[in-house]
Amino acid sequence: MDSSLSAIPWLSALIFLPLVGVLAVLLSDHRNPRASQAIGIVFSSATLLLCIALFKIFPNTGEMALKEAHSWIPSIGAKYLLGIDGISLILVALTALLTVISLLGSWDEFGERSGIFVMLMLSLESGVIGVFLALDLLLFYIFWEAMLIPMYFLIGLFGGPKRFYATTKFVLFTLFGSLLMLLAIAALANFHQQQFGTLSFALADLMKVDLSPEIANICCFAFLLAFAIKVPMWPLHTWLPDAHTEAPTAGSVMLAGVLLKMGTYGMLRFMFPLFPIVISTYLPWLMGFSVVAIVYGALTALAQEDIKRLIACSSVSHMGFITLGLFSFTAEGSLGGTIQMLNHGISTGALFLMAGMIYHRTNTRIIKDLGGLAKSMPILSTIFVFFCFSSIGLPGLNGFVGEFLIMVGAFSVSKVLTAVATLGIVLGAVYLLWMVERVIFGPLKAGGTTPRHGVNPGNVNANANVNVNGHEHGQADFSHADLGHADHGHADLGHADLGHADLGHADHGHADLGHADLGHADLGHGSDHYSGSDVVTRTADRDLNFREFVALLPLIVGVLYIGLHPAPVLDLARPPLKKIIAEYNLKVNQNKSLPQPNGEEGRK
Amino acid sequence: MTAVFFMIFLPFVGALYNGFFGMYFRKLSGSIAATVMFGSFISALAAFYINSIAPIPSFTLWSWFPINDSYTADIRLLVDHLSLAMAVMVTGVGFLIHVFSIGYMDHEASPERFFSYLNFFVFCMLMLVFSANLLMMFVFWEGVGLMSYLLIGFWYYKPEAAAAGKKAFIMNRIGDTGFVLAILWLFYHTQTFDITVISQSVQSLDPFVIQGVTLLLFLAVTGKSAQIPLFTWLPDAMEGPTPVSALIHAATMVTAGIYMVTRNHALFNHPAAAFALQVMLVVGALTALVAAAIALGQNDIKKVLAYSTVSQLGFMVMALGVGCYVQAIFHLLTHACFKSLLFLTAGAVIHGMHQEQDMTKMGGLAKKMPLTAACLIAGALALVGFPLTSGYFSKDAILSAVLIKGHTFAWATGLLAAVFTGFYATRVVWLTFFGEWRSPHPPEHVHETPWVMLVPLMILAVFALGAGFIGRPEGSGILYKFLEEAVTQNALAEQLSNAQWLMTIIPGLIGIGLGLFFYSRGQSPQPMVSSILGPIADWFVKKLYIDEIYAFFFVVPTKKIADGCSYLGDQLLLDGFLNSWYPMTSLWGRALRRLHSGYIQASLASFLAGAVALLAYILVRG
Repeated sequence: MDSSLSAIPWLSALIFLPLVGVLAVLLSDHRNPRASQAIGIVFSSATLLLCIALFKIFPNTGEMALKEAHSWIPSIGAKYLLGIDGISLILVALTALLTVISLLGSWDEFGERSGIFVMLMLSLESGVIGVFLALDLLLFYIFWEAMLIPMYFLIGLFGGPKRFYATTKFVLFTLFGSLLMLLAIAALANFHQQQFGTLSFALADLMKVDLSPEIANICCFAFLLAFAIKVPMWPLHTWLPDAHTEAPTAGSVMLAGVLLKMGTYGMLRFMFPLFPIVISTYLPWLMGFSVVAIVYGALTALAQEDIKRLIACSSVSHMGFITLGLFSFTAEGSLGGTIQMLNHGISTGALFLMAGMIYHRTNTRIIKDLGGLAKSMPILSTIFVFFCFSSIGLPGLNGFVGEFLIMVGAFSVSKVLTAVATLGIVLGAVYLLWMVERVIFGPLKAGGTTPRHGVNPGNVNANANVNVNGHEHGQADFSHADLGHADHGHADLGHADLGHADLGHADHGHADLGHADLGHADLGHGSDHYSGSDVVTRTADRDLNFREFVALLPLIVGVLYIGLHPAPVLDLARPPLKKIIAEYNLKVNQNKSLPQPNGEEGRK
Repeated sequence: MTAVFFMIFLPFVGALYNGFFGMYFRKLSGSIAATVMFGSFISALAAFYINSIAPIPSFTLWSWFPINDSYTADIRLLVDHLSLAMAVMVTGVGFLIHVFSIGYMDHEASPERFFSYLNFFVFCMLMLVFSANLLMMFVFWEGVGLMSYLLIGFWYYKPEAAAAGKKAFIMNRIGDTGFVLAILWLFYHTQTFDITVISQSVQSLDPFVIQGVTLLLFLAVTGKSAQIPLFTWLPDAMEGPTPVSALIHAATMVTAGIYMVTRNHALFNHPAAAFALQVMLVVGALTALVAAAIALGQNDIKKVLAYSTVSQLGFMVMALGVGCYVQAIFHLLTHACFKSLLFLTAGAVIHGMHQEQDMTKMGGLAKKMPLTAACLIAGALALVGFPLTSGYFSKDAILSAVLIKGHTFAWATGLLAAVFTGFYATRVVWLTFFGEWRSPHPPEHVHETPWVMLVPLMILAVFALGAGFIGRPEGSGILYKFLEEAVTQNALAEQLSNAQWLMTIIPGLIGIGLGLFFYSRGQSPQPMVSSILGPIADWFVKKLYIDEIYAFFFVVPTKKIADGCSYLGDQLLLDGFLNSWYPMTSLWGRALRRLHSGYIQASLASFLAGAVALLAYILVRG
């Protein structure tokens, strides 16, 4: 690489560009939804372009590249250390891509509050990218915790009816693990001081610290807990379905797409290098837990009645595959796990996005209330089924590449566990195709040609009443709903009683915008929520619009590209993994060859 | 190479065309799809011819999947006599079925979707056939499964069709886990997926591995080729349009299992595979018998043919079970002709009867559609194994091989299945074309099949009757010679005695005789058999309650366990445990809150207490 290029702080630019976007939204009129959304998309796209540029200039040797080192808090030896390798690059690119896509997907979903939403999304992006680039453990920890705040508010402000429970659960779970991790980081830094004389939080320094087995065990467990909660591994997963169900679409996309990968990334980047000897004794157990997660997650997915919750549970199962690959810690398994992080981000991100689109059109995510969407929205349905098959792991699409590599790796470690894991593959087809059968196929149930509310005005009033309960602005809802009735024909009714049908909108009927704004309008007014399940009315179904199609297109391309030609992506992750595995093996073998006190060598 | 390339990719291009642009020219979509298939068929013939002059080498299309540093799984085509023979059949039968479909789907609202899927299916099937490595074979194995899923559910708004598609895909997936594990196991020991390399290194493999792998591969066969216990998806798959049943669920996809075993015969020829072979023989024989028995009780014409397909696949698996791969392929080829003929004629009848599939509501159609009737009879004769038809030679080849290898019991099972075959085939022909008119529709509305559908039927009928010559004489006929290089199998040691030979041809005739005896005299479509057998006959009508048994033992428990995980596990146990911390935490909170009462006295008091305690500590330590 040319030296002029390396002089540019590329990685800091990646982290701070979204924050500049936040600033820009603040400075502009953040009550203007269009302006905020546009700023958001501009800045997240710029970040994405920067990532793409990085692909070009980035030397894929397996070593950390484009390093940046600055003094940060000299009194405790904390440094601002950034670096990128193939694994980080994949995940950073995924983060940048999904941010653009979720912003595009939520275009004027939040009305006046768009500004806040965009700022939260951009700060989230910044935090997550920081996590994937930090090489100093304290810096890593700061990013790790910092990204919790925007996520907390994304769920808490824009979420569904049980959002407070969900978001508190999410934050408490994560905090519980990460505080223990902070203690372990502090302990490591302390031991570094004892052994080398200076405090340091740099990963490369801490790897040299010699720990007694007990201390290593405790510290490793703290790291493991923090990461396992984030992944989430069974049985620490129960925060996930709640968070996903309540989060807004964009939140779900980011949560499933990238936040979960922070856990698996942390394992690869920090846990394996820092505690190779301890973790080598845990591996069989961790593989066991992964397999339980695969099967258990798939089974819980089978029992769900809400599309989003089903996809959330399926994430537990898919993340189980990823950890199974990582903990097999073979060249193939870890490679598969890494690629699967990307694949899961694409497929599950897309599924959440589309669940949001379905919800947007039908006002329900309850599987039994839906049906026959293929009739009313053929293109949306086709793409939805496409992503389902990607998630099922159909060969030729992306999911298969990762899953197969994981199984090649896992098989060489344990045949039995791999055989049990294939059960997850069968169940994966069962819950997704069953959902497809009920939602996409069959006779048309939702929206479209026969909106339920159109037939029975009494029904609408009843729904409006439901809204009244527990809403500060209930009365407003009610009266607006009535206005809606009075003024408009069938197709408009749906909009009208989504509440707030402020007259301006109602006037131009069901133009695209009107619909989109109205969908979540009462959020925009800062009133209490309305929930999808208690509003049964439906807006007229329309197929994908151009904006939504553009949002989905990169994901479609990604699914096919990785499925048919995975080599470039695999080549990106292979060198760094090779390095991590080599270092790990070196340490573990050294430890084995040391004389054991009770072993035969000890006696000699 | 070019010919092979065109053969495979013409259907692909056709699929893309109809998928993306077909909706603008709906009227043309069928003709274009069929034209493409014609090109593919001609290319297949050309490849066949070129290969006979100078063998076509295997070639790589693209480098697909780098598993590790030393091995990359390519998309690579293996061209040999076995794959070419299959390819000619797939494209030939495929072409005829495409032509037939132009007529059959003419009232359909979106034929382009249908033809796009159908073209794409042919592409996947050809890729499967030409796969040079197991991973690629698995890719297209799933690919044909996907197209089967989409085509069964073509009329997706019918709940039964959607459910049948899902069932097919899931049951195949269960079998596919066997395929995946077999691939993984072989890769673990050989570090390759390449079929020829694996075949060459069979001798160096651990016998235990061979045994495991062959059993796992057979699990995959039970799914794809609808054997016990994974066969129940195939009858349900009849919810799809009839040409789909003819192409996918009779002629090509369901025989992929037979082809896969033949392709990997080196594994199955190993002595350690003996157990797997035995399992295959038993499963094949049982499937042949059970499916034929269930076919006796079905009134839906397509259901009878579906069970008949399961039963015939059972015969092929029997042949594999005695290591006679060529005989299996022979029956596969003849079966492809006569069973697709039977399905298409059934489709013509259904088309002519305005979507009526219940045979008890047909009857007397021979007068209205004599040519269709003749075709169906030709197919039925071949199915039963009437002397000198194609089915006769191929079924005879299997049964005699089983007997010569000394498996008398399996042979006898096969004979009984042949009796049933004769009976249900006669029943289909009789209930449809003879006897009195039982349809609620007036006979004037029924007319002979249009030519676009009839010509393919006639061509298939010629092959159904005459294709048997390729397998004669036994062991040294054209097919045996042709496949000699590609498939290694032990020649049969002896010929059958005349008495044994007679024994193998008689059962079909007995079946026909019984069928004619019962149906030609009675006026009722329900035969007297049911009065003779009493409640047992009911079992056959109810498909031996196998779906109900599976529901009871697998489906319902799985759902129960799933609910258990979700409600008991997640919500009660895990969340319950976590939420139980809440009262305790809030108790602590309330207790500690008292310390922060906000009274300055209290604060001062605690400050003093702390200071004293600290002082005391320092003093004591010091």
